[in-house]
Amino acid sequence: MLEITNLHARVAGKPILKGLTLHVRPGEVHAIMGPNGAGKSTLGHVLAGRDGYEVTAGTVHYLGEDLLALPPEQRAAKGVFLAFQYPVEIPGVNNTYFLKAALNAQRRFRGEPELDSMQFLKLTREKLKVLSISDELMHRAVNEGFSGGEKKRNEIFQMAVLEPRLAILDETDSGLDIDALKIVAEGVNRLRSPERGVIVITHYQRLLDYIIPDFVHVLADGRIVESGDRSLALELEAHGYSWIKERKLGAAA
Amino acid sequence: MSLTERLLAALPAAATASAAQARERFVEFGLPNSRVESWRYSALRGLESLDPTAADTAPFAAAQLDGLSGTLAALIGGSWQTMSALPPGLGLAIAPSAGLRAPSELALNMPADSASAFALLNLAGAAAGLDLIVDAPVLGIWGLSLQHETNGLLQVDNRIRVHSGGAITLLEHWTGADEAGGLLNTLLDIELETDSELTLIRVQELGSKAQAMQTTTVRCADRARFNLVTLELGGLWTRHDVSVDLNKAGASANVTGLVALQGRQHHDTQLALRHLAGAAQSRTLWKAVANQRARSVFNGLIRVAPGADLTEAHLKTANLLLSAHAEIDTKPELVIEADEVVCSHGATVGQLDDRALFYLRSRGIPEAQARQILTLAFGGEVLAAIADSSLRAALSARVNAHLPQTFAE
Repeated sequence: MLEITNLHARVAGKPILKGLTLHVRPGEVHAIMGPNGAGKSTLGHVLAGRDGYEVTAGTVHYLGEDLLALPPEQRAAKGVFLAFQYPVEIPGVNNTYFLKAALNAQRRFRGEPELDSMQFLKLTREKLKVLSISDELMHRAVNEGFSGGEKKRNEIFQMAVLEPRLAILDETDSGLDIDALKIVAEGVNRLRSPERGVIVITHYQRLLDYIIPDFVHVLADGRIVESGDRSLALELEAHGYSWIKERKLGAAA
Repeated sequence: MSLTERLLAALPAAATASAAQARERFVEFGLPNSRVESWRYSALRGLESLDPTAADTAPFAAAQLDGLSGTLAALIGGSWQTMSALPPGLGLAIAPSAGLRAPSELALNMPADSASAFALLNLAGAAAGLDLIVDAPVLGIWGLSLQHETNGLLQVDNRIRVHSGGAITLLEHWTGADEAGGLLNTLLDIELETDSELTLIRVQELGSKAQAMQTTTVRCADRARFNLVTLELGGLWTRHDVSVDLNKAGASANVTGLVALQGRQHHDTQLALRHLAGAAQSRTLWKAVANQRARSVFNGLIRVAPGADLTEAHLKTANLLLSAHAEIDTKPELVIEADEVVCSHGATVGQLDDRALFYLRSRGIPEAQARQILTLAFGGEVLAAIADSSLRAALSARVNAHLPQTFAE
């Protein structure tokens, strides 16, 4: 469903992604791990369509379509969801209002009928419970004054309501305690299905104890330098990212 | 004939000595030009072609606002008409004819210069006037509907007096036909006695060609509270001069304003808060949004007179520029001549937050809608000053209707 081929991207003139290739098929969960500065967040932003990320080479096809040609809102309507590493606070915009506007905009784009307030409330009630999000949070402004954990849970809650085909989680685990981590993982696991793909971007393997990936990739210096199954994440955890570097050097020698 | 001469020719003969005096002063000082500091950004160019005697437009049917307890009176076709029955504690009188009322204190205290030319012009002969007297706390939110239906000159002179212990919430709804291109020149003089309170909500939705010069003067006695929430949304060229005198200890003023302009709309508010006695408080929040080629001007002056110790005064203005061709001129001013005061002021001018815009779009909200949501959110802080939730919802919808539908240059 997602084919990233030889992707090169720059931020403020500086090359960050330098030939990244990754294929995600429906039903798969891919974990992308890597040291700071490897380009993990850049990948998430390029896929979601953030301005200022300049693609200089390579292609991204999503469900057979050129993803990079679409504005962010159309990518979302077609099922791409990015859970932000740093969710944005939007004073003055009510959380419920925001999510209902988003869902209905997507439905409108897809030619589906919009949900009224009652239908929307029904849809969200059960999902709030799963993610232990209080009603009170829904009446506040988007992410304003939320704790770090509340922001991340709010991201996963949005994902649960919008039901994307392809979810990209950008370091959703950072700054979470173990209870919040389990709640977030539960939200992601509920979304797993044979039609959906998930990309979990993370610095630590801890999250992967709860979201079991089908594939693990190591991103370093803008490229995927190693791919494997779950055991790769465990080895990384044991040896650190320098282990990859040394192994590459060892192989070269 | 010059504009000054044409305006004078359109006035009724002075009915009282004070009207005659105002007329003399108007002749003496003349109209302001851009060399007058408070008129620097508001040129009178649009008035050059005004024919003050031009006929009215066809009657205009104003939309009703939800959330009101009732409408007390309506200014229709240039004259006041009473509407619903008066609530207990409130008296209302329609001034019998132009200029026949006793002069307001305002007339006697008008600064002697061209900056107050339009107030003098009004005092020299207004066509319509309304007096509201509040004797006791009045429940509910009471409306005054004011319609601009002239292509000429319409002058209105309204007065509100809240007696000791009285309180009321009033909403002025200014509307008018889009084809009405004349000048509306209004005065509102407010006297708040000891322990009284007035909450005045102004919703300015004049027609797209309207020109309006509005002057509001307020005097607060001991512990009197004046709350102003003003929404400047309509009209082509509009200006509001507001002066609030906190004359006695414990008086307070809360001013919140939201200006939302697009196209070639021009709005200028000149606010002067004068702390003339100690231990009085004022708090001002002013927000403006300008799109396309619109221009918003705001000057917020806080003057703390000698001896007005223990004054507390805060003024904040935040502005959103949505287009490279829009203009915002905003200036907070503090003049402090007393000791032991707590005063603050701040001004910001910015654009919509890119990160917030991307966040909304990444969730599927189209760019134009995302911009509109963020722009309304910017104004939300002003609407929050409206305590009544159904009125707040109604006004929020009105503001939304005036926000730019497009964000073109």
